[in-house]
Formats: sequence, structure tokens, C-alpha cells
Amino acid sequence: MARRGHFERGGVMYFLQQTVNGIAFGLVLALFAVGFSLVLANLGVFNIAHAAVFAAGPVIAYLLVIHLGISVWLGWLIVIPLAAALNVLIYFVAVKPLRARPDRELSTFAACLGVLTALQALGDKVLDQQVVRFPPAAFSVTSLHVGSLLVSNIQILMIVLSLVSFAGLAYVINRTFIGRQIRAVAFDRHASEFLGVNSELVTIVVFLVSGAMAALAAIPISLAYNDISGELGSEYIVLAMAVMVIGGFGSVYGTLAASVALGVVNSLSAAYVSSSYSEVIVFGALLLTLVVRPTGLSANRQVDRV
Amino acid sequence: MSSLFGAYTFAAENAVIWIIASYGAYLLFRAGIFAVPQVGFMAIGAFASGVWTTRVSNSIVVGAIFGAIFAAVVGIALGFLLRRLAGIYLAIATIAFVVVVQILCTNFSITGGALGLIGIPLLPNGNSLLITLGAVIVLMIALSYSWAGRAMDVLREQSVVAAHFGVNVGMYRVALFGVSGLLGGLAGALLGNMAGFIQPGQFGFSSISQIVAVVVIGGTFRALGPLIGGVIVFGLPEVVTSLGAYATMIDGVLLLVVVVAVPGGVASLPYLAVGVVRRWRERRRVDIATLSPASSNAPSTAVGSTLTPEDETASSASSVGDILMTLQSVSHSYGGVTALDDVSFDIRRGEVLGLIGPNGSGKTTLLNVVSGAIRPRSGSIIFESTDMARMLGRPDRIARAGVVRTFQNIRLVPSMSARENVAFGAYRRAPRLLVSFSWAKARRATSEIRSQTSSVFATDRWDLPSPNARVSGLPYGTQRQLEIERALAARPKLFLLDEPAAGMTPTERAHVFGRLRELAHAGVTIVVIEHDLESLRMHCDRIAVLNFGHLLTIGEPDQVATSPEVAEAYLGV
Repeated sequence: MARRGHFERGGVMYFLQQTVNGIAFGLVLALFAVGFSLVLANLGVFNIAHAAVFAAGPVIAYLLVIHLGISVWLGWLIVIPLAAALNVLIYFVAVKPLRARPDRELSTFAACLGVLTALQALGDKVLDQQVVRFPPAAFSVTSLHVGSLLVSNIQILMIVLSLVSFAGLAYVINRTFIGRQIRAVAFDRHASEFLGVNSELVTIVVFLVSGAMAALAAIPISLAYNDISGELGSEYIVLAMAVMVIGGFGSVYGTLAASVALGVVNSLSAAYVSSSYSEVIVFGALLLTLVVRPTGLSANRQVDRV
Repeated sequence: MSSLFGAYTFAAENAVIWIIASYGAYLLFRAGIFAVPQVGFMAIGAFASGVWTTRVSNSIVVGAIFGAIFAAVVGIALGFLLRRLAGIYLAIATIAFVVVVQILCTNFSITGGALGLIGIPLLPNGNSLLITLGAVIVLMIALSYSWAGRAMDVLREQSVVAAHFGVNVGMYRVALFGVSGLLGGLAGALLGNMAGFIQPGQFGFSSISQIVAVVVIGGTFRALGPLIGGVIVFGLPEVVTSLGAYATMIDGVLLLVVVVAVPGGVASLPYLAVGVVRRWRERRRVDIATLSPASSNAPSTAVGSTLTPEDETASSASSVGDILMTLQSVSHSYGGVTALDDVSFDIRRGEVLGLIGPNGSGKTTLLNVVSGAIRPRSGSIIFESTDMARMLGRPDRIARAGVVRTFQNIRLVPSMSARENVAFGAYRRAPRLLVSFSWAKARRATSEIRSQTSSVFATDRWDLPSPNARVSGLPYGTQRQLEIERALAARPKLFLLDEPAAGMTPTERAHVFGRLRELAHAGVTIVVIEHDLESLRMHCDRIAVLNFGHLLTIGEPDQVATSPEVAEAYLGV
């Protein structure tokens, strides 16, 4: 009986290889999820249009690459501020006007859903309803040997980029004045306003950061899986919701951990069982978390005062 | 296929089915439940019915019923599992539910995997779809005029009030999830019977958007909302065919615009118009009234003839002095802070008992315990010689037993008129069709409540507004008065008031206490929290003094007012 090779299914290296793939994906997903949850913590609203901001990055980058012939990397640099601006625009159009509504949660969700639907359709329209790819000339995939693992330049990019971004985010949130204000507003908006925090400005900054993080995550994901469409964000926003809940609302590290775990589970179950069962596991875990700990994993909810 | 819709058959039938499904979402939204499980229910109904009709028997009717009931059962289970979730958490959980259902359908072999099912028996024509939709709409209109519909509106806008007037919030929620599942399952099954096939891909995220768009564009709290929304969302691209390619984009923009610009949805536009006209006419009437010197604004201390308590208590009102409620060593703490410490006393039938004490002494906590807003850590309460153990912490049960309260902050329902707010107070006396199956009895009870409500507004009591007035614009004192009338509509045996005169002028204050005296004469037992010792002294039969969660003393007003302990607690002397 022949001994199984390391890189065959069932070999140790195959397992490690899939784990690395999973970690890379998880780290990038965490960028997207944390951006989404920053908005949630800041305003308590469900900005589902975040998925459209995510999709807008690759769609615009693709158009730039095709029509201007620039490299994907330059396109990426250009779309980050554009996505941030788009997210702020969404705040002014779909979130801010509804702040004082008694049914704020539902109406904001509906308004953001409207924005998502419209932007997705717009994205599909400019791509002629096609699922497109970046032309191979616009970027090149090279593989490096790390030990005996094969790691692509895109994966290295994904891992380094997320780690750097999270370090930066942690620094901003924990060590800077604006970070303190962001935390204060997330904790108690009214109280921080009384203490002189310009909560409106803080909210705009949060939407900017959140939009930028979406674009930051979207380009490597679209490169790694190499398909771009208007609906690109829908699949990932659902995953982002899952890790946000499992990791705990508003907890950056929890979201990061849950996201990496999801990436690994996804990648391993796709390799060994079937990719669709990984989703059953993820969403089963999500539902279970909500059923068992209904307050989410952060126990910071107020009882109705009578 | 003979059809009412000609060339548009497919589009129209598709629209009818999605509108039926949207009514399920409307039910949840109308009751203020922010949940979007509908597409999952549709998938369950579609596949249950599809499997049934392709494997068991090919009867469309039986298949549709099977699918609908299957989805309803799942809905009830889901509603129960998620009963403690609210807000965004609930929305996310239900989106996850939709995704899980879709994945499961894709993976089960019995549902045909990713390809789904084919060979589902086809409906001969669209008439049955139209009849189904018609029946659903009729039921929804009936619901919105029923007590359950009122309860849903109050749940949406003031869920605390709903619970305190006898609405079983948890049961409503589970039941609404069940009915929502029934409608979703039915719609899903019909979708299969319309096209002959179903695929898991039909029941994903984009379908959630479609349903939310239909309900929100139409109006989340108008029975015709989903119909109107469906006609707009599905009809627009058919009517303006040149829009075809942009249909989805327009849906999205329309959803955004309606949410931002027309809060109640398109279906509420006529109501908004009527409201504007009515308010304009009322303003004119008021102008004329103030010009005419004959109009009498003199306060009338009119008899509370319309407001006798429940018949049984009225007859036993003579026996003032026997014990209505007994509190036995009731204790409660918030975290480490003791709010109530071993409080025991009796409440006597027909008395006005004043509750006084410094801030933080536990007055409101005590009221919350008695009304069910809070479940005490320990202690028991006997009401009409029954132990309330099973009611503690359950405001709806306590309200049904006859204990009703007002709130420290005004909690009227903004979307309802003054009359509707007062009438809702009678919810605990309203017919419950599921319990008493007598339609005639139900009608009688409802019309009795209606005439009683009208008579409240007919008495020229000093500051009641016109019955059709919107409550949000009314003066503070008037809103307070309406809250009292609403509570009285419940015909309470025990009436709890939390600072009813706070922030009122001395005249208004005198009126409020005068009114309480009147009620006590009519046999209602009253417990009232108040800061002003003088008011209590004048109007109460007895006064209880709380300090740091202890009952300092309880007794006759003069005796309490001169007690050295009270002086110490209040003045620190």
C-alpha cells in the first residue's frame, strides 16, 4: 500500500495548507465585519447597504483597470476613499433622516435595503449583468514557499494587510482622542453629547472608516476568488453578520477571532466534506448563539424602564 | 390558460403570490416585530408541498395545506426559540434562518438538491390565486378592526402599555410568527403550483429585499399596504416597459424614497390627507368656540357615573375596609442595591392609599412589583384572597385580574386618537374569540365598551379633548387625564397611579385628586404615589411611608404626618 503524500487529501500538509487559506480569508472577512459592526455600535442601526459599498470597490476598480489600463493595485488605492465617501453618502441619505423615527430600526433597515438593491442593480448594469474578472495582465499571482507550504502573494497580502489594519484600528480606537470619542458615543450617545463630544462628526468618521475597511477587504477577496458582480457583497454581508454575532457585538477581537475561525471551518469543510455544510455549521452556530445568549455576547442592554 | 390578465398572466400571478407572502411579513411589522423570516417560510412551504405533490398525492389543495401548516409549525417553533430577542438581533437571527433553510434545501436529497423539484402539478388558472389573495385581504382588514389588531398597534408603539393592559406579549409574538409562517408557506406552495418547479435559489437574500420593499412601500400598518406595495413593485415595470432593465434599481430607489418621505407608506397617504383636513376644520371650530362668550370652559366636577368599577365590586363597595390585597415580606434588589426590604401591608377595599417617600425609597419599585412590571426577589402578594404567585412579573395576567396602573412618563399611543387610546384600556374586558366562541356575545361586549368610551367623552369633564384628537399634540395635563381615563376603561379593582399630578398646576392637581376621591366613592381601590404630603393628607384615607426600601409607617394621614420617624426621613431632624 502506497504511503499517502503530504499534499494529498488527508495529508498533514494539505491540512495546513487549507488552514492557511482559511486564516487568510478569515482575516479579510474580519475587516469587513468590523467595519459593519463599528456602525452598529455607533448608531444601533443595521446598515445592510454596507454590502453594496463592499461590491462598489471591485466594480469601480475593474472599470478603472479596463478603461484606464491602470494596475489593480493603483485601482485599489483609488477606490478606498471612494468607498469611504459612498458610505458617508449612505449615512446622509438613508440613515440620518430616520434617526428620530419611532420605528427607527425597521425603517433604517428598509432604507438601507433600498440603497443596497439600487446599488447592486446599478453595479450589474454597468457590468452588463456579467460576472467579470480582473484581466490577468492587471495583476500576477506568484506562489512562495514558506517552509513547505505554498502561499500566494495574494494570501500574504491579505494576511499582512489585515494585521496592519487591525493594529492601526486598535491604535486609533484605544490611543487617540477620536478613538476615545468613538468609544464614548458607542457606549452612551447622549451622555457623550452632554460632555461635549460632537457625535455627528464621530458618526461621520465611523462611516468613513467603515467604508474604507469594506473596500480594503473587497479587492483582495475579489482577486482571490476572481469574480466581480453587483451582488458580490450579499454573500459576505451574511457571513459578516454571523461572525459579528458569534464574536460579540462591538467586540473587535471577538469578531476577529470568530472570523478567523469561520475562515478555517469554511476552508477545511470545503476541502474534506462539502462547502455547503460549512455554511450549515456557521449559521447553526449563529442561531444557537442568539437562542442561548439572546442579548448577544455583549451584555449591555437596558431593561425597559417603566 | 384562460386568464384575467391576458399577456401579463405570469407577472400578475407571480405578484399575487408575493403579495400573499408579504402579508405574513406585514403581520410581524405591524406588531413592531422587526423580523424577516418570510422567505424561509416560503421555501419550507414550497418544498413541503412540492415533495408532497410529487411523491404522495398530486392534489394541489392538500399539498398547499400541507406546506402552509408545515411552515406554520416551523414559524411557531422559531417564534418560541427567538422569543427573547428584539431589534437588530432578531432581524439578524431571522436572516440567518432564511440562509439556513436555503442551505438545507440545497443539501437534502429529498428536496432535489440545488436543482430543486420539477413536475409539480400546475394550477389550471389564476382564479384560485386571486380568491386566496382576496380572502387574505378580507381577513387582514377584519384583523385591523379587531381587538387583536388594536393590541398589535399598541405592541408596536408602546409594548409596555400593551402588556400592562392584559396583552400576552409572548403569546402574540409566537402566534404571529405562526400565522406569518402559514401565509409564507401557502405562498411558497402556490409558487410551485404556478411554475411547476421550485429551486432553492429562489429563496435567498434578494427575495427578502423584495418582500420588505412590498410591505414598506405599501405601508407597514395599513391592511391594504402590502396590496398597494405589491401593485407598485410588480406593476410598475410591466406598465412602463421601457423601465424593464431598470426595474430593480427603481424598486430600491422607491423603497428609500418612501421610507424617508412617506413614513406610513403609500397606503397612508389618504389618511394623511384626511388628517390634515380634519385638523384644519377642528382649528376653525376652536377659533369659533373661543370667540363665542357663551362657551363654558368651567370645570365640572361631574359625577363619575360612567365610571363605576366592575359590577361585582360595585355591589360590594359597601364593605369598605375589608382587605383587597396583602403584601407579605416583599423584597427586591437591583444588583446589590436593595430597593424593597421586607415590605408587608394590606390594601383595604375602597380606600385611597397614598404612597410617599424620598427619592429612591422604593415607591415606584413597589408599584412595579404590584403591577407585574418587576418580579420581586422574594415575598408574596395575596389579591382577593388568591395568591398571585403565578402572576408576579407578568403584567398581562395581573391586569386581567383587575390591577391597572398609570405610568410616571406619559405612555399614550401616538398613532391612535384620544378615543382609541381610552378604548384600548378595556382590552382586558374585551371578548377573546378563541376562548368564548360566541360571536353575539363578543359583539355585545365590544359595543358596550364602545358606548362606554363615548360616554367618557360626552361628559364635559374639565379637560378631555375631542375624541378624535391626535394625542401627540395635546397639553401635558390632558394627556395625563387621558391616561387615567384609559386605565379606568379597564374597570380596575385596584388602580395604581405613579405621580399622577407631577408637573401639574395646583388647580389641575386638585382636579386629579378630586377625581380619585370620586372613584373611591364609586368603589375603586386606589394606590397613589405622590411627593406632596399636603395633597395626600387632604385626599387619602391612609398613607404609607417608604424609606430606603423599608416601610416606615402606614396609617391615618394626620397620624403619619406627625410621626417623628417620618419627619426624620424627610427633614433629617
